Amino acid sequence: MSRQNKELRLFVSKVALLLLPFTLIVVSYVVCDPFKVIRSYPDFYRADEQFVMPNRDYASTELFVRNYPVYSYDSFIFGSSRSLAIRTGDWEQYLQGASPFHFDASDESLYGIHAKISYLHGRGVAIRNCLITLDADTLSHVQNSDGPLFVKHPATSGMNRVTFQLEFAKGYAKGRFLVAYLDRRISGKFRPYMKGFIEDRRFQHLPRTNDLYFASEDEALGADEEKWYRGRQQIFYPRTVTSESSPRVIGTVQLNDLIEIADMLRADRAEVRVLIHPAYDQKSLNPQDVETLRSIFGRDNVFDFSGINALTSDPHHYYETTHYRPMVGRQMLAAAYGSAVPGVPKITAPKPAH
Amino acid sequence: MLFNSLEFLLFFPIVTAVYFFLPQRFRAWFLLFASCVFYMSFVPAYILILAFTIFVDYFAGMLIEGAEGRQRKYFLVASVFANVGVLALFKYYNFLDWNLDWLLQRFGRHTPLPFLAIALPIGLSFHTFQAMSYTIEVYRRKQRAERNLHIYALYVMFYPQLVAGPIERPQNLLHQFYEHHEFRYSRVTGGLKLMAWGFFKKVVIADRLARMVSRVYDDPWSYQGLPLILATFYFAIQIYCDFSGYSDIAIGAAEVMGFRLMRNFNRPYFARSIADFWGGWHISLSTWFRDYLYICLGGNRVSIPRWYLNLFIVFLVSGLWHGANWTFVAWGALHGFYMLFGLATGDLRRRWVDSWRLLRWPRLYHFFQRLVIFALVTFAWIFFRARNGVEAVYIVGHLFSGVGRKLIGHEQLIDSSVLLGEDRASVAIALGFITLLGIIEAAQGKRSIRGEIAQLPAWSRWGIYYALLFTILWFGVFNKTQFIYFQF
Repeated sequence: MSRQNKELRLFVSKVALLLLPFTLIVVSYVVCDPFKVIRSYPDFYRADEQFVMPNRDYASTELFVRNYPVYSYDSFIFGSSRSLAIRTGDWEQYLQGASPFHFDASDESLYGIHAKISYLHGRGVAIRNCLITLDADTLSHVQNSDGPLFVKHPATSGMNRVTFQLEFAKGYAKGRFLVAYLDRRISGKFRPYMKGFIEDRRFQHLPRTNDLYFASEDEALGADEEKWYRGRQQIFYPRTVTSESSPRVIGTVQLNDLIEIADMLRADRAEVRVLIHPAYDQKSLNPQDVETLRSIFGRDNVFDFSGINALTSDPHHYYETTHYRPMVGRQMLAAAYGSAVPGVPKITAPKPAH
Repeated sequence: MLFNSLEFLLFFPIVTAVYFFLPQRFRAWFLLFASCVFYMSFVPAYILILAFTIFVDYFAGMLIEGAEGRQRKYFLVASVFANVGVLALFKYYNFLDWNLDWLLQRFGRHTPLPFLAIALPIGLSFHTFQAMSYTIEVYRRKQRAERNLHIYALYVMFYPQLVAGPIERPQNLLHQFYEHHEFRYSRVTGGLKLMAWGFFKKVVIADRLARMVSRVYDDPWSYQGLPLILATFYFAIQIYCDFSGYSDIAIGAAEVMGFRLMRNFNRPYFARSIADFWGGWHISLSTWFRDYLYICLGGNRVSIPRWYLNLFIVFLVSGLWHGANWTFVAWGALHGFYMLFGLATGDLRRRWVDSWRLLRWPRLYHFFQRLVIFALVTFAWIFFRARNGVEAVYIVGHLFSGVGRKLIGHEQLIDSSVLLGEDRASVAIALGFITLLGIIEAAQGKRSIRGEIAQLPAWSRWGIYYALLFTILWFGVFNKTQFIYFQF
């Protein structure tokens, strides 16, 4: 054997040894498919399989693609996980013969909402009713998100599918996640250090409408609500805000995206409502941003529930400081579609001049 | 195709494997093909510009070699004119147009020249300078004209150093394309280790810092004081890690295939003078300017005022080489000023050091020198990074705003603004890796880290390799951030 061949063999064997851990990571990733993006899944939220919260954007889009031929959805709720408090079942009561779908995503951005509506528009899906739920955070992000929980489905973002898959593979290979995931998978136990990576909550998912309920929380609240809140007093910090509003977030890019969204919805003659989330921190969306939204979507169609009001004052309206409960969602729908909610500023909003 | 992309992760091993398996007579052709693929992955049409300069310089080289007397000079001038012309058209035309228009507006007129909506071809300044070094060396009779067009084309287009250097000289690189490179374990692994170190600097440090730097420098008006100082410090580290990381990957990739490229960085932030700094920063460019501009202007074999002027011109041109913007000119001028000030006050400073007997504590004195040079270089980076002169002036004017109040305790010194929009963990990780880099670079001054690692027992060596790879994987920022120097 020549010297070159000997050295080549030595090199190949050492590279194989060096890459062995990485190969094992790749193999375990493909076998486990923790984010459920490699293979097709009939249910993304099966309790016995769920160690990791699936990418909600991916799950929602996949479900839409699969179900649209059957249910011909014509009404959509867009927004972040906060929008989960607005259930399609409650919304349907205000719509006539509609087929609603909850088209939300974790940490949804204006980019994501724009991409989804463009996708529906491009597929020729006529939108009859549309609920856009947002806050300053939603409006501030105008590019695709990073990371396995947040990156958008390639069908809506146009992202290269290989790059999309790599986002998940990289997320899996991150040290703390990998250790937590394998520990949970092998031991079958949830340990405190896994929080943030591994799900210990249970969800109830409605495959037809894509509604997602916080099942663990709802059950605990149903059993003893006061006890539940007593145990979480440190989470519900006292609010000290008096009349603070977020800085302006609608810039040129946001403005263009919002105008394009409004144009697409107008082309479909959709009934649009824009609901601004009642955030626990009681910071209101910047009044100029609210005004911009009203000028684009119509003064009567924008409902600002942010800031200090009856919905945000009571900690019992929240699961934690990020997500409000469906009872709040129902009140928001009532305000947007008819009956008033005391303390919510929209009700006093001036009528447009004719 | 960026080095920090998936495409390159596939491209590099495939090209390297095919290169070694091919018979020698096909290797140069194959490398040329691979280099074309590499370059065309950015903007395919721009390969035509490259082809133009390759043809011009290939024939110019042969004409210069075959000519005598003044004819040689004419051919050289024609070749340089063609190269500089391409650079002027694609890089400086709009800059000249804007400035001419601004000037004419003072007299109520406008320039009749149209604005050209063209993007700057990737790495134009690098391969143009490399091509020019060939014709100049042939003119100086230090290099024979290359007869094989594909070998000359490969000299200009060799993919590891095509888009951001090192800017090679024909004497160093051309003959290597005729050499037969066998697969050598030690050389291949040496190259791969250098590439891994380059990736570490790029994706773990530079791209992590880039987020914080961009946040401030893309909207400097929202900041003053400590955030501006930190963003500027981070940029100094970012640009070093970005560019030296690129150079390490380029040199390492070439080394794997058996090619030796010139060193491009040598611990510039440990320099004790501005001249030292330029001896360690972008060496292939600073030596290019020394060999082909500074010496042509007369170098230091002229009167002192003319010598100073020569140096200042070189720094101004170096600034302009980096970009068609007055901020780059200001950056070059600032370095020129530092250099001249250092030369003019050299004797005075030496006397001052002697009278105070500062060399009694040489380490402390050298540390102080390094600190001063680092501060001066970092200050100059403000002009390099700022998007325009107005923002640069704002940043300079507000670098220390409010810092005094904080120092005397009226306000909290460290608040959330110093995180520059990142969380504490991310900033801590960045600072941790900057410290690690500093320690390793400091150690490299005394001995070769690669040599030291090679002496370690196998388990420690492998531990280091795994640690480096997992650090890149776990702490790397993989968002396809372009290398800063690609734009030049």
